[in-house]
Amino acid sequence: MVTVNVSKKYLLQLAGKKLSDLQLEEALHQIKSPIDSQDGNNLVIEVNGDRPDLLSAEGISRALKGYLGVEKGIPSEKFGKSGMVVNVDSSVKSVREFIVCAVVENLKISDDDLADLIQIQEKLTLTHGRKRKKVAIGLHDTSMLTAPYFYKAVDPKSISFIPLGKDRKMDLQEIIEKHEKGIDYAYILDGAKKYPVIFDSKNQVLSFPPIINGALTMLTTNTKSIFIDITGLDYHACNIALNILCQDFADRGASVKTVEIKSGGKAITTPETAPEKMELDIGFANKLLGTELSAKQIVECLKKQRISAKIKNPKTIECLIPKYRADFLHPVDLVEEVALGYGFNKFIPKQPSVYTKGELSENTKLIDDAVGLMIGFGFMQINTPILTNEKLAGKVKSISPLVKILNPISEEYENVRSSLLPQMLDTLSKNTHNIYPQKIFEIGSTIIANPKIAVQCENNISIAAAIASPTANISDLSPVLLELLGKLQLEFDLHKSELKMFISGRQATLKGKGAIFGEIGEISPEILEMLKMEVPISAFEIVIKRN
Amino acid sequence: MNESELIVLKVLEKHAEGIDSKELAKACKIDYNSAMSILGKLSEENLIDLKKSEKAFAVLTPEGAAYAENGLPEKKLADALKKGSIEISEIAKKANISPVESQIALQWARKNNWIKFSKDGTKTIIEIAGSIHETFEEKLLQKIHHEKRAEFENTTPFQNLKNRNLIEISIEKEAIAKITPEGKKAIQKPLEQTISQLTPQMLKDGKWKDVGFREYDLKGLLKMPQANLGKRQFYLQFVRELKEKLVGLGFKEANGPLTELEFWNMDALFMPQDHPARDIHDVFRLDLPQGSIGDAKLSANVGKAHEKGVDVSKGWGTKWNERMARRIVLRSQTTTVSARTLAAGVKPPLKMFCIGKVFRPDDIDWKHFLEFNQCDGIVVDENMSFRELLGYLKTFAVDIFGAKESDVKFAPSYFPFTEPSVELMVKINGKWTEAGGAGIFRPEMTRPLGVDVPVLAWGLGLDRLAMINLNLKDIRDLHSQDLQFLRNK
Repeated sequence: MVTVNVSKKYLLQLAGKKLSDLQLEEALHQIKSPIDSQDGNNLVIEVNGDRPDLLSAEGISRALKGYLGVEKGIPSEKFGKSGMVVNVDSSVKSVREFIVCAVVENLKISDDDLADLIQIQEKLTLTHGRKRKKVAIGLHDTSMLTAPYFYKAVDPKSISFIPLGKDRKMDLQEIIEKHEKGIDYAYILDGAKKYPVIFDSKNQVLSFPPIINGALTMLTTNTKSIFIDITGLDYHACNIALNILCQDFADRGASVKTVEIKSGGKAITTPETAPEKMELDIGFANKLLGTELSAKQIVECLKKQRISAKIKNPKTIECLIPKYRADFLHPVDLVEEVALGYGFNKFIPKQPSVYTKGELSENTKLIDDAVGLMIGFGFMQINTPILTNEKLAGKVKSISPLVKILNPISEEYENVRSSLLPQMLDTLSKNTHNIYPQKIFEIGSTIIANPKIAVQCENNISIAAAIASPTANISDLSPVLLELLGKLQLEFDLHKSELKMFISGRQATLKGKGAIFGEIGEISPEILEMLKMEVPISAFEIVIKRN
Repeated sequence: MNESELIVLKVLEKHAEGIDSKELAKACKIDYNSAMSILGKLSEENLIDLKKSEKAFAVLTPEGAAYAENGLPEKKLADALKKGSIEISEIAKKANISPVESQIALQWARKNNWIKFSKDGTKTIIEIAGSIHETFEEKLLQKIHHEKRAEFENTTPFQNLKNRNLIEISIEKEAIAKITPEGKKAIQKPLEQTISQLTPQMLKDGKWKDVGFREYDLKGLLKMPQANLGKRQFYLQFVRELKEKLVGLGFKEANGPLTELEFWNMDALFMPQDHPARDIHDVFRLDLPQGSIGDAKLSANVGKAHEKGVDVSKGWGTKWNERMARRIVLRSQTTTVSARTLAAGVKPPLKMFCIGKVFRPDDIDWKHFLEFNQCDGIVVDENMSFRELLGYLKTFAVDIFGAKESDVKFAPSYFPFTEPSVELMVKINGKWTEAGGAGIFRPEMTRPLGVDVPVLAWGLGLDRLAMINLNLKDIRDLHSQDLQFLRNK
């Protein structure tokens, strides 16, 4: 999810209808662009990944007009030919194969418009374009350029130009290594021997996609005509992005024109605007929604969603989906449009009527039994995080090595716990000001790496308990352990052990049926000293279920 | 009267003039608190006269101790002046005191009328004016120094030392006990046999018939330490109650691993492999070898759904990479359990839920933590529809969140694996709050898992809900290590 900034005034002006703040808020929520926050005229709007066409005021107003009934069905703009040609060299195939372009004329650009254009370009490439990898966008002032243009992959050192943000010429290699954008996006071109460039008939560089544009074609408030280049790894994704931009420019009142892309003797005209056809089975839609909508009603709902729809036969509706929409894979996507057009809050919720028998899981039952017993023994339950760190575990000890997170965001939480005891002793060390005896326990997941398991880890359930008091020793705790495991019907044997965390000779390990294991003992004075504990602690930890 | 009371009285008899309670405790070889409680009781019975008072003592501050040791600055100044007059700026050097002390020295030497000032051009000269004698303050300082403390009196020397921060006052409570004539008589009486603990031996030999039982002081009983308490952790208790409610609605609980294949966390949920949420910033990856999906057909089916789609779907149209699906992550959603449940084979009608930890990288603050509980559920049945889904959500809102029916509404939403998708909105404390996401699983998700009937799916965020319910201000309190907090919550 991303957010975009939109001027409320401009949005309502585009939508062509006056709305109260409350009406606008509700309307925006229902067309999938809810307000995140607002500050006077500026609305911050949330947009989900499925609707890149809502990343601008123009796009939102298009949906809004449908919702309000101001305009229905597919927008009617047709784009004329510009006569512009882009020649694509086959060398780009191995690095960034696809390019689609358009020309925008009759523009008036204010400073606000420039900010809007930068925003849609950024948000579109970030989400729909997967951070420029799948789709990258360049907008160029054409006044200094000479047609036709060329798209070609070249040796990184063979071409140099002044990139945006710099005041001297740099070759492609240098841009990748030194320019901020080069450093940020270099990974996209990782391993490529040649880099893609777009240049004009006088060898002036427009763009080094997906890294940076040339300074020569920078947009200003004097720009009258724009050339749009969209390059990427997926033709359809590029064409959708181009359609979104072109439709936005058209809604701004500019005239959008197509460009001819010539490649290997073939030529296509972009943007390709022919709407996608998809058929919707009326019975399927009604069954999925739990409704009995007529064909006419469904057509009306779809039109409100800016989809052209007509009844093909009594069972089928034929739909035309605008090319700027990116989210239609299956007729279920049309069904959601019907639901949105109908209005989510007009549906009458159907009360659950199917009878099924509810039941707790075996794990929950086991945990419940253990918790009940421990509470009966007078222990207080604690609940500590599953994420931990080596330092904490190392302070105490850990039966098994901790699984490491590859991309931690905090030093405190860079591992997954393999034992409950470190956090338990940590808890006691944070309560030295509270009254003794302190009797606490925890039951929860512990994770131990195990290559024999599909998910590479045992996800076990462990129980740990501790008593801290001036007279704490194993004989206070072993009756609890015996009773607990006895009542849980877990059989086990005690074995002599020499674990460092416990006092020598005052500890034991435990092995039992069902592969349960654990240990009990009196915590060693070295550890107590390190934890600044002033009373002894006896503790046990047992894995009561191995998964 | 019992034995220890008698001992106290006997000691008091020897100190007919009265004795301080601390010394009394020492003499009786009992601890101070017991002594005070015995004295309280004896005084109530008029056997002793107990006078409680407070005494203030003066003790030296570190600064005071230093001056007692080395002399007051004004004295050092006077000693230096005995060798001849000094220019004002040279005081510190000549008298061997610090610049700060030289200010103090000047002030007090002048107050004591030891010095006088004269002008020599622009310079100010200091000379001895009168006789240098030992002041009361100095005497007092030395006295306290030698005797460690002195009873504070409200006199000028004490006040001066206090104002100069050379002494501080410590208050000591004192209780003087003195035996009364009744007390003296009581000593002569034969000792009454009272006991504080009935023993098995007494029951056996019948001795209990000959003794009296000591009465408890009821006020004392109220002051006993907190009882040991066995208690469920409040948040786990909340989760447990929620499970009970879902079981009551006919849902069967399922579990799944916290360390999970990306396959179940993402791919089986039809999240495209280049989806932004699969980014390193949105899921914790683990330093482990590749896992195994274990079912080649399942893996191929899911891959095909991504690449080419199922049914009439187009799929994502991008290449699917099984190696990526085999990476191990900490699950970021409990929908993994729904997917695993479906793939294991289902017989409709089925209602399943899962409550468990999920993990997401985030900036930690009062409402975000790296791990939190999620509640996911599915309803699998031939005749399920969007309206039933809304029905379940409304039931949750009313039965689980305790919302009024009029405080429930629905908003559009988006998840890669559901269509239509919907957000449950509940009015909490007068504010519309997102309470859960839901939808009908896409055919591209259910078909590869072998399911051909509609699957309603929903997920509720638990931690925020718990915060509202349990009146918590910080999400980190859910993991509180403060035992007093846990006891009271």
